[in-house]
Amino acid sequence: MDYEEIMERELESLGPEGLDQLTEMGREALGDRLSLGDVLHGLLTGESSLNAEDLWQAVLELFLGEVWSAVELGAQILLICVVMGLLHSLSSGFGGSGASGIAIMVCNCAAVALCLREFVSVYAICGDAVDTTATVMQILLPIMVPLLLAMGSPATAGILNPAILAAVTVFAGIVHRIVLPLLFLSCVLFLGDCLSEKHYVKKLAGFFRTLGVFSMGLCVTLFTGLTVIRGLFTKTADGLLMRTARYSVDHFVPLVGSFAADSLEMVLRCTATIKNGVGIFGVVVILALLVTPLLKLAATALVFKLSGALAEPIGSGSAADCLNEIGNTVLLLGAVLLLETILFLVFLAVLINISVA
Amino acid sequence: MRGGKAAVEWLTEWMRNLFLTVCAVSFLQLLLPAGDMAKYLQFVFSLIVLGVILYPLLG
Repeated sequence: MDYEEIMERELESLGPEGLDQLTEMGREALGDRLSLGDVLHGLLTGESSLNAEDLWQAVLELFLGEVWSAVELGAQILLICVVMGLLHSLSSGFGGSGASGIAIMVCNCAAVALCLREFVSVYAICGDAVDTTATVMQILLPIMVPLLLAMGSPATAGILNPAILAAVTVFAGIVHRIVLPLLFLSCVLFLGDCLSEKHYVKKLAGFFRTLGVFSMGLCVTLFTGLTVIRGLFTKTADGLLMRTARYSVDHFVPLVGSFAADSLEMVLRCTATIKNGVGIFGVVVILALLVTPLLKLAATALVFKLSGALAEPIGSGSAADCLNEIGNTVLLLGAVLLLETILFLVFLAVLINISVA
Repeated sequence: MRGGKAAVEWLTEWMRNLFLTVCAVSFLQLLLPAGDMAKYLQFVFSLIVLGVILYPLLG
């Protein structure tokens, strides 16, 4: 029997729903560049199905495109800052009367409105990306855990499955419902603070940001701990189980014992390859889904901070401060997204790494 | 998560109040004339903002 035939049979026995969802997500994320079949074929023959140079080129193009569209926003904000600076100098010439003060305030409000609109769209992108990566994990796990079972690691599968699925859902929920809103609150307060000369709510905004970062750190630590500890116990038990089964079949079944043992081993190894293939495909899909939002967040943060730096000499100091802080908050959003994805990827890597010696 | 939804609404409400208060106070501070009363007005505005921030904790 051929490896490919065995793998096809195992793939069919997996059941159509889980694999269909996975291939659909993959097609959304990657287009026609890579499919599950390609990855499995690549695993068997030992050659890589991804081209590193093409990938790098595509990522660079995406990044430049995002920066270009964000620069437009930056130019608008800078223009408003220049007008504000002009009004400032003019008004101190006229003795700081009420009219110019109101004009400055109106410019401030316009700049704040622009920033807020951009921040809201970036925030929506980040929230969507968090949800999508969590969904991909929730699709992948019910496929990979039965494969773990089928390849001879029942203890690992039994312990990992319910705990980790629950942890993934809870973690994504916490990030989406607690951490991201806290960062949003912090940004809105920073924007509100820059409307007046006296700082009313700046420290409050900083407090919310610290809260958000702290809860994110807590979640990451808990999730990592859960993953590592659960994985440690079961590896030895599964290895023993597999060896005992093979030995028994080999020596206690008359006549065809060794043939049966060898085919058993071949089937188990094929199932392990399928599990690895599905895992690797999942990793690639998550990375592809992650790239666009992350690049957009990075480009927006870059433009905000650059505008803040450029606005400092020509405009009022508080506007530059405010722009800088918003840039920091957008960077934090990107960091939250990146952390969450790295966690999921690490867990997938641990699952791929479980193999029976 | 019904409790979660109520909490989010409450938080949004509080946020909106705070933001509007800060905006209103900033505007008022510009409009009112400078003079002897300026610093007392400043103090009163600060108390108003503090009150809005602490309102959910008190009631």
